[in-house]
Amino acid sequence: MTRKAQHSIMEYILLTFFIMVVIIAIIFFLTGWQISQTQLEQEKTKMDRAFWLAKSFLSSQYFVKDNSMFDDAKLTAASDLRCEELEKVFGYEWFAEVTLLGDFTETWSFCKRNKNYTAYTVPVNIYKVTEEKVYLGTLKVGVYY
Amino acid sequence: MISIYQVFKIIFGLIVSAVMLSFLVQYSGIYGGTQADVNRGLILKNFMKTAQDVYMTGNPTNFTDFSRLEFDLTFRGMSDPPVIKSNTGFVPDTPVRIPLFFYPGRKIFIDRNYLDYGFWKFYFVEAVPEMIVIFTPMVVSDDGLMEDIVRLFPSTTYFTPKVKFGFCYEDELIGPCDTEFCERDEFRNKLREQGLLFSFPECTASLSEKYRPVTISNSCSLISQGICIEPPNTDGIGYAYLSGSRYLYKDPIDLVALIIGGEEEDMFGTPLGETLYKYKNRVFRERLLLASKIFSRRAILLSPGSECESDYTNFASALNSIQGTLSESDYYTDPYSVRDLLDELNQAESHYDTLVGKGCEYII
Repeated sequence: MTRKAQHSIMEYILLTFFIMVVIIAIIFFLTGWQISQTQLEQEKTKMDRAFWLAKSFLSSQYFVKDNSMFDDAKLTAASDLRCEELEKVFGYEWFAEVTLLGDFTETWSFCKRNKNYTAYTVPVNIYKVTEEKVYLGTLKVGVYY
Repeated sequence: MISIYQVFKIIFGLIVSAVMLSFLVQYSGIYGGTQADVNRGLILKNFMKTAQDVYMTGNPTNFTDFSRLEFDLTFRGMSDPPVIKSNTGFVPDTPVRIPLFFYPGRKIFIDRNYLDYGFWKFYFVEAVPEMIVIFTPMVVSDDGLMEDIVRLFPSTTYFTPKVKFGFCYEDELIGPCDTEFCERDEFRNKLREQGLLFSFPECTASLSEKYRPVTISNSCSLISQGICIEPPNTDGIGYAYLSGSRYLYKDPIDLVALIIGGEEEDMFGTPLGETLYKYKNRVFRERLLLASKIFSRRAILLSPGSECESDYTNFASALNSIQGTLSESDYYTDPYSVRDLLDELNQAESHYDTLVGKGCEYII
């Protein structure tokens, strides 16, 4: 009789234990899923920011003649400025690089640092004011992490 | 008769059930709260993304997601970077990277507007809930000032929530569009067609939060409700009064910032109108400084050998003067600095117009 009772008690304890294990597993799964979603969201935020910066550069009065057409004189003037002056307007932890493709390559860099980054590269037009000609180039905009 | 074993089973079952239940209730509470915070963060992020898209494209839109959850938002325009802070739950601050005049609400209308200085345009985004701006022009000659202010508010035609305009005559609110309050463009048309035929007495109507009373008077000392504006002097500078404080204005956006923010105070007791006014002058300074530095260097680069050499030199010189005036971050509180700035902006615009006229520069 005592043995049977002990056996039944053990059964109950085991059952409880398994239920707790299942509940804790569900909790771990939900928390893990939540964390992975948050990490994914952070990654997406970085990509969104890089994309937004690229769009900003392509339409910013500080750099362009028309939408998606850079003004080389504005680029030269802006590339002389300290990064902090651009960061006040465009935010922190980013860089941009405009490269004119042609017989000889010309590059304008903004806030370049030796750090890991996520970046977009898009083809752009570059207007050379003195020559009154439009050249093909690329814009690379990235966000550091 | 119940055996001891059955009694044990009941007690054990009760204890285990209670422990599990309390654990589950606690966890679901924490999980539910976390989930709500995650959703709040996503809604705030989507709001900023929408505002940035409006800033980029100029296409207006409305944003209604704030009505999906409980929000208590504060706009901190003077922090670095400016942020929108949620006072509900644990939501990270959302950085604001565009000039944004934001007043919290459940349904928001977002539109872009700008001030044109010829060589540079100051673009900004207004994100506002339903709002009715009520004017009390106690000076007959100043419908021009009203027109300047109204022009910089968003046009909500075909959208909700609405931003509308009307008048207050003593304790009566007057809707000038067939007894209804007008939308922006209708109100401007009314002002243009009819003008102001007589001056209004002080507004004594009791107004709820969605109203923004704006009094235009030569003497604001006795006006206690809303914002009171003294007409500008010949330099285009004047003073506005809000919640007992005086603010120097030099352009209609200073006034629009004060009106959108209004009298409501944040947790530090600062009227939101004051926060938006200071924020406007901060972003305006940062952006104008950058523009003047880039454009003056560019003018110096292009000047040698150009047929517009002297005009480029004059343009660069006006832009350098702007940099000098803006060197103090509180330039907007000093009437002499503000007068110099307006003068320098006019000079820069005029030199740029000359450059465009001679074919040396393009229209921005």
